[in-house]
Amino acid sequence: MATANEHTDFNPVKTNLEHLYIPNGEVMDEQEVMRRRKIVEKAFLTIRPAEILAMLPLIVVMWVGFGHYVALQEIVGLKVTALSQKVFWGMYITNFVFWIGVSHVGMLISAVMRILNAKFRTPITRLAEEVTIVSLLMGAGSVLIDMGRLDRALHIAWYANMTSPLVWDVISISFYLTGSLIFFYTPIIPDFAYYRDNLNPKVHGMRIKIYKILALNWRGTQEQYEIIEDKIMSRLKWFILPIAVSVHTVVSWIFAVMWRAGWNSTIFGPYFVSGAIYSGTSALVTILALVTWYYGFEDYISMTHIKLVIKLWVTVDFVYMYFTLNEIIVPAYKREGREFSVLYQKFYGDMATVYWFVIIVGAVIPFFVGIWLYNMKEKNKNWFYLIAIITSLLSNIGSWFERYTIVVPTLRSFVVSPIEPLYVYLPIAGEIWITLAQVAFFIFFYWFLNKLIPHIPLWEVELEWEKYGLVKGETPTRKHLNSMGSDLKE
Amino acid sequence: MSKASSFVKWSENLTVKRRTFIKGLAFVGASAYAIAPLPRRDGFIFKNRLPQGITVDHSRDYSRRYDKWRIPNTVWGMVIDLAKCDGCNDLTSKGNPPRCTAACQEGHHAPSDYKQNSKSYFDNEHQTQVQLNQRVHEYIKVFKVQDNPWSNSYFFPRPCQQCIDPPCVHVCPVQAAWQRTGDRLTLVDQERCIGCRLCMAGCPYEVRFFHWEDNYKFYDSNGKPLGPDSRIVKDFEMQMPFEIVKQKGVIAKCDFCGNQFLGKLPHCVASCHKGALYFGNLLENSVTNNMGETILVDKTIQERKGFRWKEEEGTRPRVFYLPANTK
Ligand code: SF4
Ligand code: SF4
Ligand code: SF4
Repeated sequence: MATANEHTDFNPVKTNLEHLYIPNGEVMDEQEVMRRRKIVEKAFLTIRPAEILAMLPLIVVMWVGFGHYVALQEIVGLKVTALSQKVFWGMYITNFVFWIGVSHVGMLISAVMRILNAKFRTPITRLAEEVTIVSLLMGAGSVLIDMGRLDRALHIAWYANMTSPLVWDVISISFYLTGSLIFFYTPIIPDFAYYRDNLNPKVHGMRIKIYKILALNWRGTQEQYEIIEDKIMSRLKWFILPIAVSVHTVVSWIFAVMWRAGWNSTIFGPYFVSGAIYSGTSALVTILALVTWYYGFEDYISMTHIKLVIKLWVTVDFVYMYFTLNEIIVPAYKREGREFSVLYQKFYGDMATVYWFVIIVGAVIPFFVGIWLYNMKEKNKNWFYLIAIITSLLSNIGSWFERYTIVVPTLRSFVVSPIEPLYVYLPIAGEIWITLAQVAFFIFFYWFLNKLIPHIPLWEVELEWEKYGLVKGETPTRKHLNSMGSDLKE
Repeated sequence: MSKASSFVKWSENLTVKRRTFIKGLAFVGASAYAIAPLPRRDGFIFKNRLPQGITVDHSRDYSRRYDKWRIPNTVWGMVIDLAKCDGCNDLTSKGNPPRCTAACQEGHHAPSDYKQNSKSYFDNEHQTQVQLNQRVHEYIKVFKVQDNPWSNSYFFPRPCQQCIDPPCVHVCPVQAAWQRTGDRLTLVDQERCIGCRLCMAGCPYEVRFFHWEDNYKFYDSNGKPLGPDSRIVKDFEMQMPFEIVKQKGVIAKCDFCGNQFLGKLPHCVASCHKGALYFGNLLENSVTNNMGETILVDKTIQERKGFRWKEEEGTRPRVFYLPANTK
């Protein structure tokens, strides 16, 4: 392995690395590239015993939650929850808002960063897009779980009432899911093709069959690459942006168009979108730190990459705190009766513990810890991962409770007269199990996707290395292309 | 032409005309979409069971629930005299619902007994009465209200305000909350409702109620379904009064009963021992209570400074309140 300093005629470190963020800045030979690729292959082709151990409890939780749903809620009805005529939305709608929020990270990383031409996005795009897909499915599932009559779900299509925010939501979520699937799937095709052709058929016969279908007869010609890059990705990135923003805006309108104190706010759209991107980025930080640390992907996703995501995270956190402050200050200053009864519950009442957890642990502490992490030295790597994982997990839990403190206190407060009793909603076992099962399903499904698909967009990364002269000789991607008679030459 | 060659010909055509084929698929899909809702409409079932002596607008198709109960040229409305209502203190002090609520629940076979899981206690820390799991259906509910610390408290019965411009209808994704033409009653189509509860959030008056489980009143004490001779099953088949719900997961609310189509007052109005509730056709400008007193709507509202609740929401309710303290 040669270091950059030996190449005096051309020094990629100085010329290109600043915006490319290639780990270590070394010029690699073929073996080195192959060694790196092997790390990813080991991670996605094999299942470690520790992973099975971790998935077993998840399967148990999923099973219990599923059982609660099928055997209790679908048969007895929503009576098995703690919901009531007064507080008729609770944990399920909270989950809905939360998951749809988390899904926004894919848009941020793959569309916004593509538009801004931020090079550091390349190795992390796929992990981010997977978060989007899985959490969008979770979000749609949450609405279905909350519905009284699941058997009539198709009525939304048959009798769609275009003035209903829920119908807008169904439409924009469908668009976003479709767009994200295209955005996610298209750049995997070359990787599928590589593993279709390069895996050992004796060991991975099943995989090869699957990849054969998924690779869509990819031949790796110049034309095909142009279709991916110039036709699909570079056009779609402009469309996905407004669609993604519309999704959470419409979710916020489900609340904001209602005549309810605490929801009756014109700032809800941007407020929800900022909260969404914030929670999505938190989830990405958790996953990046965890995956990089556990599988040893540092050669692809360096500390610099994670730091840049953390920089984004902190910035979005700031915007989110700013909107939250606006949401608080304006009604708190006026103390109008109903608005104040909502705020009182959050500030001093029985929701106060949750609310201050949301504000302090969910938003303020991550802001400062994020800045600290961003300036951390390379030698404290393990601490960096540990603190990043803990903080981002806490901020995600905070985000969930933030949704909870939007949904519940408003419904609890009085409508007719201030001397009405305070209605209480305390989630009971069934709801909690179903929610935990959703989390378990998210992790499980994410893990499963990652066993099918390489964590890193290998061909993109390798072609990028080539482009910046960071490899001597041919990368596996290039060899594969040549072997398929490709005419991709530069 | 042999069979084989014609098949080849046919399949060639198929490949050439793939676009036509896709168009055909789209057509099949679209027609499935168009006819799919038909079998779900319950109108066909009840069409032939019209009760006698009822004027019915035959020009309409009976595609919606309660559609057979309809009289042209009517706008039903209610006037509630807050000065008369005493909150049925004699009953509520013993933990029973007020007369109007009880009569409404009885008439609609609405779930009225959730005592086993509906708890209420006094929270010392926050000095408030706390209510847990309130799942009773009270299409008319009586609240104790005190406008300011110096005024006397009074009682405030709250039925559905039957808005002319109803938010519940705007937000319902499947048009299960709907307002019919003609008498413009705001109704719920329980054959269509998906139980998303958007309308509960949308209604500024909180008068919509969700069926959290199958209606237990359709079962006897042993859990067996009641037979066709029972009053509830007969009422259910007649769709009279409105809002008799059998299955879980849908919305119900005050529908102004439908009793008026039989020439009767709504249950709540008929049961009030003070005659505080008046009901009638607003187009005729007269409403009646169960004591036989008929009042003119416009004149009474002017004299007594009547008001509509939450006028600022722009929902234009059809329930008018006469204030308690102006008498
Ligand atoms: S009071 Fe509520 S339920 Fe009744 S019509 Fe108005 S918005 Fe709909
Ligand atoms: S609960 Fe039923 S009536 Fe209410 S908005 Fe949903 S579908 Fe419409
Ligand atoms: S009008 Fe009928 S449905 Fe409405 S509250 Fe009175 S009895 Fe109940």
